[in-house]
Amino acid sequence: MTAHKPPTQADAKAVMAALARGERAALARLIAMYGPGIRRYAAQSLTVASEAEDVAQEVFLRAWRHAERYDPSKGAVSSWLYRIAVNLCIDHNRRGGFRRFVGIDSMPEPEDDTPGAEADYGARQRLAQTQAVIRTLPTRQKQAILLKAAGELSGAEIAMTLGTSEGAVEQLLVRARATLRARLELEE
Amino acid sequence: MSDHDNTTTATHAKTDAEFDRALSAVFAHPEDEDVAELSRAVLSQTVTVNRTRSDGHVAEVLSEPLPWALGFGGLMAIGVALGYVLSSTALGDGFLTWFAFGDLLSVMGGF
Repeated sequence: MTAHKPPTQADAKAVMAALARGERAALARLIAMYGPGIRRYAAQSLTVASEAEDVAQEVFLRAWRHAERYDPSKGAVSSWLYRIAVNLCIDHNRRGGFRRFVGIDSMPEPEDDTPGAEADYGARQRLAQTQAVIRTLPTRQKQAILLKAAGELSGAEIAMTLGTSEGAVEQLLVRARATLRARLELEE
Repeated sequence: MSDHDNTTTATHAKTDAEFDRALSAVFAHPEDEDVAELSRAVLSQTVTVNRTRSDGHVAEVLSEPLPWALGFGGLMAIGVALGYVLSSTALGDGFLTWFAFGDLLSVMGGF
């Protein structure tokens, strides 16, 4: 669990206003606020987790280019950014699937050779099991549970991100949790 | 809603929250919070984006002269070839006219 305090809406909107004025310092602040969550979401949502850094970079570059399009009255900054991330992940997975199909890319998941990886075996195994179950979820459930757990968004923010109602998001989360609980308990 | 229902809902909400926290913990890595590299990469790309926006055309020609030179050469070649074909198909008195027309086309093709 991350220990950081989530950014307030007022802070985030002020940063977006500065970004729209072309202040590059605001971009650095926006990355500090949402970078970790977006990278985590991308790592879990992408078929090839190592592309998460590229996707996170693209999210913030698009935010920089199109900052003036953000309308505070239409939703939270987090929803706007995560919507870009969700769409980019869909595009990446689609393109990656085609490239792997025609043999341009192989199916890669590099071995973790970082120091201490052996000692962290239990945590990695738990992560692998959880990822395997999440991969089996229907797309909307998967997106909702990842936005909740990896992005740490509220129900309202997830609803804005996915363009649906809070009630629908709650349903998606209930179903996703039920599947995860059942499958993970079974595997344990 | 009865007290029992309220208690059940509250308990369920609590367990959901706990479940979400546990799931977040599975995904979290200590290095996630370090965004220095991400920030550096994004900011350096914003500089490139700005530079491209302002004087892109001239910069493109200067930094990548080969594609432009190839395009220019290609147009010259097409003009010369067309001129040659037209001049070689001309017969009799019209030969010089066709030849001149071919030359003109080659010049136009070049520029």
